[in-house]
Amino acid sequence: MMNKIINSLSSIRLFFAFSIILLFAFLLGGLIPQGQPLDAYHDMFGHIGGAWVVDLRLNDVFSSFWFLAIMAGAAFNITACTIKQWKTIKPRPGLFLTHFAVILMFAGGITRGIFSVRGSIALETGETRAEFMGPEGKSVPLPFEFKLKDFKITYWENEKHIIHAVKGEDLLESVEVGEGKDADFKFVAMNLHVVKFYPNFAVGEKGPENISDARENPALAVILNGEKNKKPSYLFAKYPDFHGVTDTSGIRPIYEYSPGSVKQFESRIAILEDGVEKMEKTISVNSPAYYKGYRFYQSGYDDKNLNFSSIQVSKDPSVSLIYAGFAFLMIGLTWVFWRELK
Amino acid sequence: MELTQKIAFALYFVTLGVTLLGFLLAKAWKFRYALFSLALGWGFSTIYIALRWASAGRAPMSNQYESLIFLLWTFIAIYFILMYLSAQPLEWLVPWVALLAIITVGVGSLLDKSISPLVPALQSNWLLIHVSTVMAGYGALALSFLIAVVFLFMGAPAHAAKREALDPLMLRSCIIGFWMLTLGIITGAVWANSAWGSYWSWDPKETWSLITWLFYAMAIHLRRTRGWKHVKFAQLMAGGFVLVLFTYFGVNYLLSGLHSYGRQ
Repeated sequence: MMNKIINSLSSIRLFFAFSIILLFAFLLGGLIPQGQPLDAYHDMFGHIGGAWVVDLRLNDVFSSFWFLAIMAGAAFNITACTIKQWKTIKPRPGLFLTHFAVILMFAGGITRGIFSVRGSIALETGETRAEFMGPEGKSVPLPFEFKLKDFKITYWENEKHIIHAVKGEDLLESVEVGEGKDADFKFVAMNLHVVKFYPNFAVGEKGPENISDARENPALAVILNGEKNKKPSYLFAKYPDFHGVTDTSGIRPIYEYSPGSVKQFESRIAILEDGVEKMEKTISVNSPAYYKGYRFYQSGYDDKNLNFSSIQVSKDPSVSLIYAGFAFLMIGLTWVFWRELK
Repeated sequence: MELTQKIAFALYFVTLGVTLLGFLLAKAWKFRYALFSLALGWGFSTIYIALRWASAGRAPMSNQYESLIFLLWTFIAIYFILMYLSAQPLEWLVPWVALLAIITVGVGSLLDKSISPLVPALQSNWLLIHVSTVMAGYGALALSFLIAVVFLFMGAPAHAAKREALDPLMLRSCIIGFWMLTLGIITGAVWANSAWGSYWSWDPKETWSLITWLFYAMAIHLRRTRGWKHVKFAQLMAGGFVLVLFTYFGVNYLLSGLHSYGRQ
């Protein structure tokens, strides 16, 4: 009886059956948008169809019981097949490694499902947190404190500076300007020269200065009507009414700053234990921080609040298993296919 | 820079033209000169990619257009490699390769060619490794598709010997493509883990690449364990490429997810 069960579990036909079922499951998860609210499925599939999608867990295929059961079956199949065909596989290391790799990846998936934690921390500069928001909005404690010391966005050079010539409520003309250039108005008789661009304007002890590259208070120093001997006037993108600059014909220049594409956004973070700073690091996209098994990833920001940063948190012991699976899979495939290609 | 790509495009047409002319005039030289023209076109395509790389200051693989040009480059390169390694003469496939190259460049002309700065998510060394291996995989699988289609349409007994030579070539290009695709998926997962803290998120692109991978894994198993060669294997290669096309194009335009910057 036991032999019958093992023979059935290890059959190549079962592999093909599971593969076809998995393909359909992947298709469902790949075509039906996942993780949407019920109303969205009502809109897509009608009231009854939408309810069916949710009841059958087609809105969350890859976490559904039926999908995990199929994956478990596939895992048993490949394990049983590898054991049963051991005599055939043993003299063929490449074949063994490819199948062992897939088994390792299944084991990694199980480990991830049981032991991994993931979530996010949203905080402003200067704030400290000792927990993060986990699945379903639950608070998950951290064994240390996490502090956001600073947040910065840098841009590529293709940002734009636009001067709008306004009279009263009427927009007369708009031109793109650059540092050291004249505003090339064609229809408006305004003579405006841009002296300097300040990404983050402030008034220091010695007068106007730029305090950082983050575009937090973009401003232009301009000279109107060729008055080169006079001090420049300042136009502020965030405070168009502040400067009160007007030329003789009552035309006001309004400065619009159009940020270029974001080059990078980064957070300077610190880890504290009992109030003592244990680590400080600047994290950005593709450059996370690691501490005591936890990983912190720069996730997002709010362009209306440049002090805000969103950090992704992850603790996943399955990574080693998965990476080992990856390595064995590539070695195994190379071994097997090299013989084939020769 | 664009001129080199236009010259490559023109040379793919010349390849097709030379073959047709050679057939009309019943000349033996048709494939020799067609092959030379294709190689020259590939050379200009190589220069184009290099110039684009130099101009952008990074690997030209950040959007659909750039990846498509690289896919075509690997498709032709793998054809040359397999032709060199094969004991059978395969020059007669050159007009089909050129036809697919023309179609690919034509599709590319509809895409955004602009060189834009990289968004933060793409600023990684993994961009080159992941995209190049995936595109090389697609290129090899495109070759297995082309060979499969030629195989399926070559029914006449006069072509039996040529047809027989195509079967091992189909398998070889499938194996190369599968190996590359596996490496591409793996490098994508490693990159995702280092960028977002999750090696697998069931993102539509990831899911569809797994569908494609599993399909070709099944195809290889069917060949090895059930003896699915010749027509059956050709049908699998033709069908599998539909999945490749959906994974590459369909997901970007019809489904949203982390890979949506391919739509730019």
